[in-house]
Amino acid sequence: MSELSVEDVRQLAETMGLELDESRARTIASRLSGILEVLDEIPDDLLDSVEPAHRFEVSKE
Amino acid sequence: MALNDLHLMTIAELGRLIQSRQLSPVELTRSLLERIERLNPTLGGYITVMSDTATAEAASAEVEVSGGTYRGPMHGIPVAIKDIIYTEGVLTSAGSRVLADHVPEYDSTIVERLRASGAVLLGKLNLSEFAVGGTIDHPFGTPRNPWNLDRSAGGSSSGSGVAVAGGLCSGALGSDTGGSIRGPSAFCGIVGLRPTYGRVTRHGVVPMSWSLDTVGPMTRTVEDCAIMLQAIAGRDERDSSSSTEPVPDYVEALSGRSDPVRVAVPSAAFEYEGLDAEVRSGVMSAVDSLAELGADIDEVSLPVSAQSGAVFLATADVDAATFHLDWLKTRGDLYDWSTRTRLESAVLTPATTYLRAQRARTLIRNEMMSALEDHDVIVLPASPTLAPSIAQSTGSPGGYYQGRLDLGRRQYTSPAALAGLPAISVPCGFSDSGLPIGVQIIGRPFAEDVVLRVAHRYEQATGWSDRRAPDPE
Repeated sequence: MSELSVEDVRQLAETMGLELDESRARTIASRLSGILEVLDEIPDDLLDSVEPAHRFEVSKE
Repeated sequence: MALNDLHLMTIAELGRLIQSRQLSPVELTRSLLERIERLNPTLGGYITVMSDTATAEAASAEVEVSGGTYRGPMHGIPVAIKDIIYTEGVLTSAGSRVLADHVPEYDSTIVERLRASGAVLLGKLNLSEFAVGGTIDHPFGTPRNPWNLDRSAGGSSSGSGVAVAGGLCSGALGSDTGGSIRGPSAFCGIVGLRPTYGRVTRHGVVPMSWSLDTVGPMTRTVEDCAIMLQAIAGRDERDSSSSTEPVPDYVEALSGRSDPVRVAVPSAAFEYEGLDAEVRSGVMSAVDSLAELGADIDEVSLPVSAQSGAVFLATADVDAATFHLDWLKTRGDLYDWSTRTRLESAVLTPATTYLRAQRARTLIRNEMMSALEDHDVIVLPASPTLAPSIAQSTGSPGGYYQGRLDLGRRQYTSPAALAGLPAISVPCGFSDSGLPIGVQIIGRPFAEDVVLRVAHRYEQATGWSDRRAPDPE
């Protein structure tokens, strides 16, 4: 996902119980799309190298 | 130095005069309260001035020092704190109409520690609403940069920058989630330290992001920064995120060992299109000065950190949104337009985006720590721009947000924040128009002593911190 439309934002806001006017909905759509676009530029293979949770290393003698 | 010059002096200088009983804490406090009354209406640094309690605390300090009880270099020193730090019985507004009547029933641990050090609390300082940044309409007045009243003081610790640079206190505390100490320090020509995550307790501090928030000193010199950090650092049983790591003597560390310092310079960050040419020149001159002082300089690559602005917003803002969600639903109209819009954006951030940001955060931490394996510090601009005009920074919906440019500009302060590393901003020059420039020095976890020592040596060699902003006419 690299773009959120104004309509996407409106639907999400309604689900969350937030009331958005047109100006804020447009700004939020633009802002979130910008963040998504930049995050998408980070290569997947790099991100996939990060473990989602801490892994314990237990040494056995 | 004459009594009317006390506002120009450093904490270290004032402390020596108080200890030797050449200066009365009461006289010092009175002189600063007089300046606040005269200049704060123009500068907008303070939200609340605590004249009566400050005068009483100064009188108490004077009695103690006169009686032979000297607590240390903060004893009798008038300081002020960002208005997200709880003070018992005193408004703690977080710079928001949402908390315009919020009077805590207890002091934050930081305030307790400042008082234990003998400091005099002058008042509570202005800020970007809820420390989020980009506020358009400051409910308690617009903070103005003492170097140029038409320019922004930065955010979110705006009032802390204004009060120190404007001579309205001897030192201040700010908070830094993603650059909120370092940015205002750079814009206002002062020194500001973001400590390691966990170095300073956050008990009794209105949160923005629990995984990123730090509280730190903003002062006229690096030595003053060390003195203030000493007073507030250390484990606090009331804050589970505070560290048990021992607290070294930061002032003593300033004159510690003189092995050659190994400095990493992320070269790609200096080629970014959003980096102001005068800032680039000023910070590169600082790197040259460090080399002249004997440092070994290496260029390094931090590729994922270039995207750190988006990683930061997808992390810090989502953290903040969890704190604000109920208020956004019930009291949304009390928020500044920009704060509200930014927090609502965070509420609507997809979980998949948040998870992607957390993975990227780990990559950024890994590449920062990798660079610090072979180097003592990393050097970057503390802000990529000079202080913008107030109209430019707050006059449009969304405040600073200018799409990708905004995200790109965050790449200078976000990496240290996301990695939880200590980072200091030190003055490193002025633009042709007379605006300050700050260089940022980042260190290993809990290596505040190293960061302070490198910054101190640079400061001593160059003298940029000696300049003082003129009083407004």
